[in-house]
Amino acid sequence: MGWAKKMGEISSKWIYILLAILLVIPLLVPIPLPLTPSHYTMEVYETIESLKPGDNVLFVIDTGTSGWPALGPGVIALVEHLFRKDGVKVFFVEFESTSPPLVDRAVAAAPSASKKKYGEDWIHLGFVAGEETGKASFAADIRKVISVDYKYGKPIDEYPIMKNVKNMNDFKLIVEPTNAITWMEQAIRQWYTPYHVPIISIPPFLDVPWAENYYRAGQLKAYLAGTSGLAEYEKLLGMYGDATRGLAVMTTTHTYAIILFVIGNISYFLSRRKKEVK
Amino acid sequence: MTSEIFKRKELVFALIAFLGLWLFLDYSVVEPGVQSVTADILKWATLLGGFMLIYGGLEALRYHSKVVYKKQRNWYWSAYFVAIVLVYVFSGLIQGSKGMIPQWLFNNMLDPASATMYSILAFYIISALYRTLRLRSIELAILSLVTIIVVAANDPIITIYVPQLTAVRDWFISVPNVGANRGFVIGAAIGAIFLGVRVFLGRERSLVR
Amino acid sequence: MVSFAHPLTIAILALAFIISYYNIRRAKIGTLPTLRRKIPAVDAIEQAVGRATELGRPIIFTPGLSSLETIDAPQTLAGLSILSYVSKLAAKTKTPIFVGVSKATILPLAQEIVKMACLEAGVPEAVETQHVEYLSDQQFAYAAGYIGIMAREKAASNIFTGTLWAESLIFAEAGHAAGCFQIGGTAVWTQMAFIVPTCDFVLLGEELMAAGAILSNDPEQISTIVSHDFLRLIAIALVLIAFALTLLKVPVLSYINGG
Repeated sequence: MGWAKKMGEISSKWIYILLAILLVIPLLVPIPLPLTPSHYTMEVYETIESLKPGDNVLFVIDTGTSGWPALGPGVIALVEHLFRKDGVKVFFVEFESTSPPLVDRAVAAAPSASKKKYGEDWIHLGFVAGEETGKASFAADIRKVISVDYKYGKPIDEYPIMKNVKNMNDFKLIVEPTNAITWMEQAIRQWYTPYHVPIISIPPFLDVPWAENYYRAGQLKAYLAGTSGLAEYEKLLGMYGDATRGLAVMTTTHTYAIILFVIGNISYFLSRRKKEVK
Repeated sequence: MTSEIFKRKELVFALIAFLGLWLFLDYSVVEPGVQSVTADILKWATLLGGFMLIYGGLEALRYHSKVVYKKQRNWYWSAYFVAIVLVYVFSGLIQGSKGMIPQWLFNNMLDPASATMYSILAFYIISALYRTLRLRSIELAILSLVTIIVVAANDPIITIYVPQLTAVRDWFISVPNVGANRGFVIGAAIGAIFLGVRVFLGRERSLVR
Repeated sequence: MVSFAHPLTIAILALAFIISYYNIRRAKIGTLPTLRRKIPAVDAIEQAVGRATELGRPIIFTPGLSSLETIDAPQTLAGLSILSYVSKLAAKTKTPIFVGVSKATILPLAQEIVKMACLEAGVPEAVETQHVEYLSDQQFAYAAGYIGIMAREKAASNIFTGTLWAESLIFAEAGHAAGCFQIGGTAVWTQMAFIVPTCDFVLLGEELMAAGAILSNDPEQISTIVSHDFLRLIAIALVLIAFALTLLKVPVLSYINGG
C-alpha cells in the first residue's frame, strides 16, 4: 500500500499551493455565512454602548503594520462604534513604533469620522517609546511624555479636548487592540491594576486562550475573540468589512486543516498496520 | 580617576537598587510627592528606551557597512540594507515622518513586508499540523484531538451541523486552559520577582560584566 | 492623601527577599539541594553543537524577542546563559555561531557574553567566528532576518530559547525546511503548542530558567531555582487555603481584592 505512505508524505509545495487557492477564492467570491454574536462580542458592544457624553476613551493601537490585516477590521469597527457615540471623546496613542500611521487609516475607514472634529472630539497623541515604562509614564502624567500631537505637531494644550485630561484617572475606558499579548499584559499591569480603568481588547488570535485568563480574573473587561469575533462585531454595527470576508477565508482553511489532519492520520495508521503485518 | 569611580560595579548596583526600591515605594505608598519623582524617573526610562532604538539602528548600520566594505559573503544584501536605511532616515529627517518618501516607504515596503511575514504563519501552521499531529502517543493524541475540536468549533460550516462544538471549545478555553495558564503566569511572575530581588541584592552578574 | 498598597503584595515581596537571601547563603556554604530532574534538552545542546561541527555548518541562536526591562526578563537571561554555554562549546571546536538579537539593549550583553565565553574556553580567537547581530525591534522583521541568516548560512543547528511569540513557529518550520537540529525553549505558554511537535528537544516554562541556571554553573543562579520552588509551594498552599475558605463561604476573595 505505497499510496497510504504517500498520503502522509505530501510535499509542502502542494499543501501551500492548495492553501493559497483556498485563501484567495473566498476573497473573490463572497460566501455568506451564518453569524450569531457570542457573549464575548456582546460584552464589548454593551461596554461601548454604556458610555455617556463626556466620557474619555483611550484608544491604544498596538497592532503594528504586521497585525493590521488581521486586527485592522476590528480596529475600524471599534473606532466607528466610538465615533457613533455622541459626546464621547477618543484619544489615540501608540506604544508600538509602526502603529502611528494606522490611526489615520482607521479614522479614514470609519464612516462616522466625518461628523467628528479633530481636537474637540478626538486627538492623535502619537507614539510613546519605552513599552511598559512608557505606559507607566503616560499613566502618571501625560504631559511628561507627550507635548505635541502627532497629526499637526501643535502643543496638546491648544486643543480643547485635552483641557481636563492629565493622567489615567481621567479616562473611563481603554481600548487596546494589540498584536502581542504582552502589550495587553503591560496595560493590565500599568493601567488597570493601579488605576482600575477597564480595558477592552482585540488580542492576537493565537493568544485568545491567554486573554481568557485575564478575562476570567476580571482584569480584562471584554475582548473580541478571533476573526469570528470581529465579523460578529461588524454585523452588530451593520458593516460588511474585511472581517466578514476574512471569516469565509477562515472557514475554508479550517476545513482544509481538518482534512489534512484526517489524511495524515489515516496514512499513519495504515502504514503502521502494514509494518505490524510484516 | 572620576571615570574609574563611575565604572565600579557597586555604584551601578546601588543605583539599580535605589531606583527599584523607589518604584516599589511608589507602588506601596500612594503619595503625590513620591508620584511626582516617579513620573520623572519613568520619563528618563522612556528616554533611554528611545535612545536604545537609535543605538540598535546605528549598530546594525555599522555591522552591515563593515560587511559591504570588506565585501564579505552576501555583501550585496547588506548594501541593500544600508541603502534603504539611509534613504529612510534622511528622507524622514528632511521631510518629517509624514513626508511623501517616508510615507511611501512605510505604506509600500514596511507594511506589506510585515503583513507578509505574519501571513507566512498560516502556511507554517498548516504544514506543521499536517506533519506533526499524529495519534502516536496518548499525549500527542490529546493535543491533536483538542486542536481539531477547537479548529472545528471556529469553522461556521461545521458548527451549523454540530453547534455543541462551540460549548466544548468554550469549556476547553475557560477551564483547563485557564487553569494551566494561571500556573504558568504565577511561575513567570515568581521568576520576575526573584530576578528583581537578585538585582536589588547586586547578585545579577549578567547585567554588569 | 497617603494610601498603601495591599499588605499581601508587600508580604510576598518581603518573603521573596528572605527566601532569596536564605538560599543565596546556602549556595555560598554549599548546602543547596541538587536539582533532581534531568532536562533532556540540556544534554541535547552538546549534540546540537557536535552536529554542526561534524557537518561543517554553523549554529544559529537567538535569546528571544524580549529585553531585560519587561516581565519576560528571566526568560531572556536564561536564553543568554544558554548562549554562554553554546558559545563556549562552539569556541572549543571553532564552530561558527550566528546570534540574532531583537532588542538593542540585549546586543552589547550578547556580544560581551560571546567574548567572555571564548576567553573562558581558552580560545579567544574564536570570537571571530561568533557573529552577534542586531536584527530588528520589529517582531517580523526580526523573524525574517533570522530565518534569512538560517537559510543563507545553511545552519546545521537551530537553538531558539527565550521569550518567543508568533515567530517561534516561523523559526521551527524554517529550521525544519533547512534541515536543522532544533532545540526550542520558552515560557510563553501559547507558543509551547508550536514548539513541542516541531522541535527535536524543548525547554518548557520553568525548564528554560532551570537550564539557564544549570548551564551557568553559578550556585547563586541555581539558588534562585530553589527559591522559585519555595515560593511556588507557598503559592500552592495559599490557593488551597483560599479554595477551602471559599467553599466554607468565608469572603476571602473580597478581602484580597480590597473589597
